[in-house]
Amino acid sequence: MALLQISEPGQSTAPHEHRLAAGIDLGTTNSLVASVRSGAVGTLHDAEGADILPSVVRYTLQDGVVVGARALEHATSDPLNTLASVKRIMGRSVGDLATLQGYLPYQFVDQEGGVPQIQTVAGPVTAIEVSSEILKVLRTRAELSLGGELAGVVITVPAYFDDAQRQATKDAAKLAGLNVFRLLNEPTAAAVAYGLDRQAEGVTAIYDLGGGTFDISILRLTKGVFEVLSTGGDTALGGDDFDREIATWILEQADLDTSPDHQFMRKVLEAARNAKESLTDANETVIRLEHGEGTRIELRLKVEHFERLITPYVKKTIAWCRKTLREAGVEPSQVQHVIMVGGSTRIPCVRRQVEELFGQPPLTDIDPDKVVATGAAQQADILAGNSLDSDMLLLDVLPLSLGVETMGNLVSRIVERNTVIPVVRAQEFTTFKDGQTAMRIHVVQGEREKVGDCRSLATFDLTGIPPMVAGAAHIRVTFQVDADGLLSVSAQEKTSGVSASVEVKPSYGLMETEVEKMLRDSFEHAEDDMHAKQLAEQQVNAKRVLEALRSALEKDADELLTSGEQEAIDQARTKLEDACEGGDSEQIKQAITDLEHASETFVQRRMNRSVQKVMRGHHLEEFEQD
Amino acid sequence: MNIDLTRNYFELFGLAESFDVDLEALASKYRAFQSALHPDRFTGKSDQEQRISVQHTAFVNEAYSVLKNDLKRAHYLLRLQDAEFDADRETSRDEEFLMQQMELHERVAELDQASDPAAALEELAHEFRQQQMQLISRFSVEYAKGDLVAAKDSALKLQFYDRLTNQLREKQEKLEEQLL
Repeated sequence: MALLQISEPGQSTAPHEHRLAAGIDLGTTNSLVASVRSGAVGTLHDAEGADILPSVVRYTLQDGVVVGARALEHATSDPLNTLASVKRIMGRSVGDLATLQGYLPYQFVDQEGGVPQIQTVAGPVTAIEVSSEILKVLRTRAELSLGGELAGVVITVPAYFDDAQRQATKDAAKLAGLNVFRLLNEPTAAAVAYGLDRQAEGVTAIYDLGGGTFDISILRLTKGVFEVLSTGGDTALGGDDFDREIATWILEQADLDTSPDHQFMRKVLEAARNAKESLTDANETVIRLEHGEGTRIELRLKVEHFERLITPYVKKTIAWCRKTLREAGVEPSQVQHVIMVGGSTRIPCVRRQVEELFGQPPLTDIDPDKVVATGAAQQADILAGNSLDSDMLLLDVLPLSLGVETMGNLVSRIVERNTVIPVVRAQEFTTFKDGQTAMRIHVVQGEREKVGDCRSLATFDLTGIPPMVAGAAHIRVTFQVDADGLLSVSAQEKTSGVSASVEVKPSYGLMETEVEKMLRDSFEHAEDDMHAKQLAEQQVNAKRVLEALRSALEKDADELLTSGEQEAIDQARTKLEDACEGGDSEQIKQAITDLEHASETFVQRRMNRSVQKVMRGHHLEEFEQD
Repeated sequence: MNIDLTRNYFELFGLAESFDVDLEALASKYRAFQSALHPDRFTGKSDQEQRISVQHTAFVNEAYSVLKNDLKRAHYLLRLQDAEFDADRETSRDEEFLMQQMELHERVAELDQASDPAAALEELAHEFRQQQMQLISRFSVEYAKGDLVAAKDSALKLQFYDRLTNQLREKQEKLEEQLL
């Protein structure tokens, strides 16, 4: 199958160098890294042989930052410095914390707005930094196992993550020194894991019930293309809720206060989780606990009662399934495969209800805890260009509608949810007063009509609008959502052609400069390291640009360029090559920009030619031969 | 330079500028475009190529989303003929239809009082679907004949049913939530 080869216009004909790539499942409770080696996909293990890394980070004064199982051990003894479930506050604002505090017993730094900071002995940290610590461990593990530096990774995010949450995940990766090929929706990754093995065609439902989140996605697989038809879910529903239900029941049965001390509550929750797990293949279980001065608690929990406790939650997931199916325009009976993801799908009662809805037993052959990382690794391998025989393409959708604030605190939708991405939409705005030269646009994400009920993503200040009478200026604001689901905005005044400058102020995320600063801080006393790293990065960038252009020119310069155009490109190439020899990263960066500018027309023409070939209806195989 | 990004959606997909489109052919062309242009095909390439790939893919996505949807395609065809309407402000001028609209709104509002709301809702949804099908074939004929005034009126009516169907869907969701 040659489909992928031809569709990469810059593909070098030289034998392909294997690039190291990995898939990362950055989970609320646990994280995993997986990779494709010699054609086989598998999770990567640490020195002790464990592949699951608890998503727990502990900050200490003596031992620095500790991640994973060793951090988790201190969850009870050092709760304020042992941070778990930070995924819940990724991309969240200080204002959001009130609703999350119940889940997160941490001390937050008192602050007005912006990215919430958690107070630890090592100083305040953000969720982005905590996540980057987890990613660093996974990166090191992967590089040790694979024997080299990673060219890039695919990181999975819940299908329901909004722009701020996706951006925060990408920032964490950047901070960990990872190149992100793509952010991939978790359920989609699961479908990749199964789809490749089975070459499934038709509609697939992915039911993902993890520790803290529930997602349902409806995908259509046709001739190697995964299309996400719709997604739905609840970011605060999962196995943890089941544990809490059992814990509440335990406390009731033992006639105990429902708000006991922290340490005891952790023990109760642990007992609840153990009970839940043993009920996966037993009809009843015995819960044993000690409370205070030798008070023993011994309770018998029958599976029927457990199921009664969790039924409201399971029903809720089924209601989400129905809603999401309807949005996809699909009847439950039209679904060909149902894939189970997340540890909570091991519960027999969950499986039963899912089977009842879809009229078929769900697929469970791949470990539900590892299926997401497995799919991410396969996708990373494809994006790295290692599996050229794969013609699989993943089309994703925007999970939540994007809109702007209009008069009366109402939202005007610009891109509807479930629109296939990448997407570009333009919206025209006009001035309200005579001579107005600036305008503020507030971008929100969500399905509700009132601005206050949606997530505030950013405010844009458009300045430099030529003064005109009210309503005369036509400012065309273009919203672009890339393949990762991330938004960028540009604006132009139409009558004068003046580009209004746009300054993005993320409501909850970090500014680009803040990320840079954190990156610098992580290199603290080592200015030289930072410079060396920046230089190396730019050199790699330059090499990539030069190589892509070289092979493209070899193939198409004669056909698509005049000698004058080619000369201009060659000059810019030489300049970049010279800059690479020098040690100035800024100069290289500038030379890359100049070269891109010089070759813009050429790249456009090549892309247009690809469009024309498809329009003429050539079979894709034919491309390859030219 | 960017000829492709100003191209008429029908032309892009190699289709005649008509309301009746071969959805199979449309979908297969769409996949071919995606295979050639999607950013995933450019992960190892320069930022420039990736950026241009995003622009092209976005354009193809937009064209596809319009062409595959009956109402959007009708609206787009009218726009190509300079007979565009403002979806937020304009409604059909057909007086009989205005009366019908009020009646239908009432029926939607009264669903809550029905003895079996779910069944009544399903019945109404079925009725709407039939009306929509009729309007779709009417639009197709009117547009083909070049009767843009009539075609626009049908499109406006179709839009009304589209909105009402959305209201029904919201009601259905509320009903389902109550049942839990």
